Amino acid sequence: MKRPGLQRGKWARRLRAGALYFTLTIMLILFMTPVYGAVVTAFKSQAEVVAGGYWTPPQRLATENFARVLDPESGNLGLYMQNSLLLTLPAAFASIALGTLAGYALGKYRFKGDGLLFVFIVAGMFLPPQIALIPVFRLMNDIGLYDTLYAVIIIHTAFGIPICTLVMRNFFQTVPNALREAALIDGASEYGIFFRIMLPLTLPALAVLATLQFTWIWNDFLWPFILTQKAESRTVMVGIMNLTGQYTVDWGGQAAASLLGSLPTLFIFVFFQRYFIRGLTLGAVKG
Amino acid sequence: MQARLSRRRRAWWLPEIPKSALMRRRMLWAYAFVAAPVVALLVFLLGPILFSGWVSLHRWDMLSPVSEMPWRGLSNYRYLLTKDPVFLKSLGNTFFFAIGGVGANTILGLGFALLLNSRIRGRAIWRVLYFMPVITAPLALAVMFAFIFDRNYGLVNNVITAIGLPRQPFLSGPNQALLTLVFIAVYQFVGYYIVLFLAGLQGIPQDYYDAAQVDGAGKLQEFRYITLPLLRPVMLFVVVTNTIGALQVFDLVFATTGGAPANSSMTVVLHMYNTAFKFSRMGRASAMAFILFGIILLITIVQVRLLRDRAYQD
Repeated sequence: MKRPGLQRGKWARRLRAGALYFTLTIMLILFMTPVYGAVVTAFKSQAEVVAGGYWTPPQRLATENFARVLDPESGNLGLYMQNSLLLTLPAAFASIALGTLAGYALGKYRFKGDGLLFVFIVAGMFLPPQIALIPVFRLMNDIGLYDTLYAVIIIHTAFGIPICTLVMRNFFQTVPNALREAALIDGASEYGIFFRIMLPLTLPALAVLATLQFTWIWNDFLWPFILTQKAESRTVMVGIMNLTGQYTVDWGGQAAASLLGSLPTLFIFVFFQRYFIRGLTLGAVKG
Repeated sequence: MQARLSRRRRAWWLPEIPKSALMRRRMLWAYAFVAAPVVALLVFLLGPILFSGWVSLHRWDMLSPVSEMPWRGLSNYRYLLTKDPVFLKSLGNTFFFAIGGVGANTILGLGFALLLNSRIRGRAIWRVLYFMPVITAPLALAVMFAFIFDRNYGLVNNVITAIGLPRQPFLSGPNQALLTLVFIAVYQFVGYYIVLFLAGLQGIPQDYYDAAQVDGAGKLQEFRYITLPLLRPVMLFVVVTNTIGALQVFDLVFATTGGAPANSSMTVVLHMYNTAFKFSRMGRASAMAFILFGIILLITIVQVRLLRDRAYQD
């Protein structure tokens, strides 16, 4: 411990650690500045926003921006948040359910055309969804679902299947075959094995997918924007966008609406971040 | 075992024919499990895409019956690539946006991952904080940045003028709009790439570095000959997914500039949206979607080839 070489090493290490934390902190400040700006603006009265001093904390904690965007007469964001939830939950559930079925078949069975089918399903992940925009718009008109939440639910279900299938197939491949075979010998049926043995095992993978799908679908703007029109079927993202047209300079209202619209995904992320980050890094690290 | 051995000899896409009745019955179960998802994909993904390809060869206003669309052959494609200056401009802008964004995300993502990978306290907390913008809705973020970069009331201009510099147009300046959009996109997604690179770095065994240190390798050599080659799979994933995403940018541009000023920030998908839903030219818009799809496919193949081949050489 007393040797000078080690002593110098300790100081060099401390210096390096100091520089490291300094850089990280500077970056963090830069990262958090926009968030700070949004929060501060959301809690300011309209007069104060226009008067200047935008970086300063609000003189009084004004909740009028939130009240205004939630009010059915002006922003109606309460209804839109409700719509977003009514859209996101079933769409996330359906895409995960279908992906689990396909993933189970591809991960645990050998059948005619399984390789081809796998490529077909996963290729869907690389297709730009915009290609389907016009036909889907027309299709939803033709089957009478245009301007309903069902249209958006269906499309998010379909577009979620590839990623859910991939994740579930990879997961089922890690489940030992012996488990299935033991159950078969005990006389379990194929669907009994799936529902009573396999499904309970998949809970961690399902949690990963649930956080991912909830976030994607909640945050999506393009599909609900194209497929819905009337207020009764508008989602929160379309609602935030509409505020821009309605009050061109209502910065406080927009900040409040953006914060409200980001709360559910933020909430999910903070509580399920372990699953979330695992889900997002899944494809990359496994190659 | 027999089935497994014969499987190896066959091409990957050729079906396997089970021998026993039991195996055939199990195969039926597999089909039962995949039936619903496959039907959903055929009807709502493959069907629309094929129809879109068919529409791109016609002139169509969306309202007239599909059976009466006048045939136009490849003229939509020819028009876009030779006579539509806005499309070519939007293509250039989209490339600029993608190259700038992917470059910045890769360099910054790897840089911060290296910083966070050293022995620091509370790595999980740093990770969460950098990750926050990633899960925020692109649209909500875009609306907030439109305010932050506003010419007259914006927070950034407030600071710039306070320290005596001239007011900047940012999103409303023909030379700055696209760059500002790149900045916002990098702000939003760099946290994702930090986390990806971090996961990749943590997958590299410490033994390699220990061995290198015994051989007297410096930090820079370690990075060049151990870290970088072993990160290739992650690098491949980052570059490919980021490029695909960036080429499809819509929400951000739609909510901030709308392609203005003078189409200086017009992107392909926004131009496609305008062509389809503002001007009702479905054939032309479908052709745009297919050109974009072709470009994405081509770039993806090239990137996979480049990054994979080099990985094998090492």
